[in-house]
Amino acid sequence: MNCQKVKSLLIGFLNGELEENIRKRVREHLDLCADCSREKELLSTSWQLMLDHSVPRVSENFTADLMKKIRLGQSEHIKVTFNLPFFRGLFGVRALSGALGFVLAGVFVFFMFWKSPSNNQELAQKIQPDYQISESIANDEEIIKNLDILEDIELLENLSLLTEMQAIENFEEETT
Amino acid sequence: MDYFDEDAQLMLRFKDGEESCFEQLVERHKQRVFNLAYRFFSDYQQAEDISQQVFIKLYYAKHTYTPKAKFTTWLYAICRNTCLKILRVKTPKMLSIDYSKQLEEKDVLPQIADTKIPRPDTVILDKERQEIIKAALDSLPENQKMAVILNRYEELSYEEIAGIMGCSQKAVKSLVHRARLNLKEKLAVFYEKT
Repeated sequence: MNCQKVKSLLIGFLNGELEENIRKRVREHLDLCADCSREKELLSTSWQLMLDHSVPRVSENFTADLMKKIRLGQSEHIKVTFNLPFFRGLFGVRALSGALGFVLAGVFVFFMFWKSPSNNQELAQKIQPDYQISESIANDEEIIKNLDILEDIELLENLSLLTEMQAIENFEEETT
Repeated sequence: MDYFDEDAQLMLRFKDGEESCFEQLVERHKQRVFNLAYRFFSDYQQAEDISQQVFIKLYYAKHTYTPKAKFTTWLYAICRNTCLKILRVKTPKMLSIDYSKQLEEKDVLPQIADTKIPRPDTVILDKERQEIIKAALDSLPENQKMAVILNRYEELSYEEIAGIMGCSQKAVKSLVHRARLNLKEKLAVFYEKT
């Protein structure tokens, strides 16, 4: 048995997992080979040394803290899911209430549109004075225009008379 | 095959609604779970937080428990999964708000009150040895590390470890074998010094 083979069997040898004949052959090799013997020693002592890895004690209030966390978690869990089973149970009622909501909304919208013509009338009534004002202004303008026209007509009709009066005035000025 | 050991009995009673059984289980196994987490992360506070997470998971998983395997196998499997999950998330080192208080209790007070103070050179050697062992363990890949912790410290058989890690006994044996070779290399530093 060569060194490579023995080294591959060393852990099994240390754990007592080898068959007796193989174990005997490994032991014979170790008695003769210093390198493999040292390898075996290192494997053994390093494994032993691992036990020196000490661990501190867990804190005394570990269980109390844990139970506090669990109770807190439970209360949060209850808060979150408090109404869920209730609403799950009442799924049909919820669906019905939803449908009822839609119907009510439809009725509301209908009445909104149904009332709109009267609203427009009311609006028109409210706006009417403004229309009246503008209408009266338009009428006044027409009257003024008509008065102007009448004045012009009157002037034209009396034009000869005016010219005569103008001529008399001019004559009087010349004589004086 | 059903396991009806004391832990399994307690767990089944807890499953049936006996809350006090859960507290008994915590008392029985808190140090065991903490040891595993501490050796895996080498951090007191993180180990304690993880231990609490493990028991919280256990609390809420009570309905899934069946005594098909040893209770400790189930508990270790929860602990292993929690450790690996936290390792993979790679969150920054957790620090509890009670940390300063623990420093006072664990470090400062014993230094003042303890009259049996060991010799400083012994303390340094012990501390150094602890650091070297921790470093050697931390240098292992996560599966090897877990297999070593379960095999060397928790003294579980390959069969039990296989159940916890969800692999074959042969795979566990191979993991422990490779871990031992790695540890021998890493710990050679310590032998060279001494």
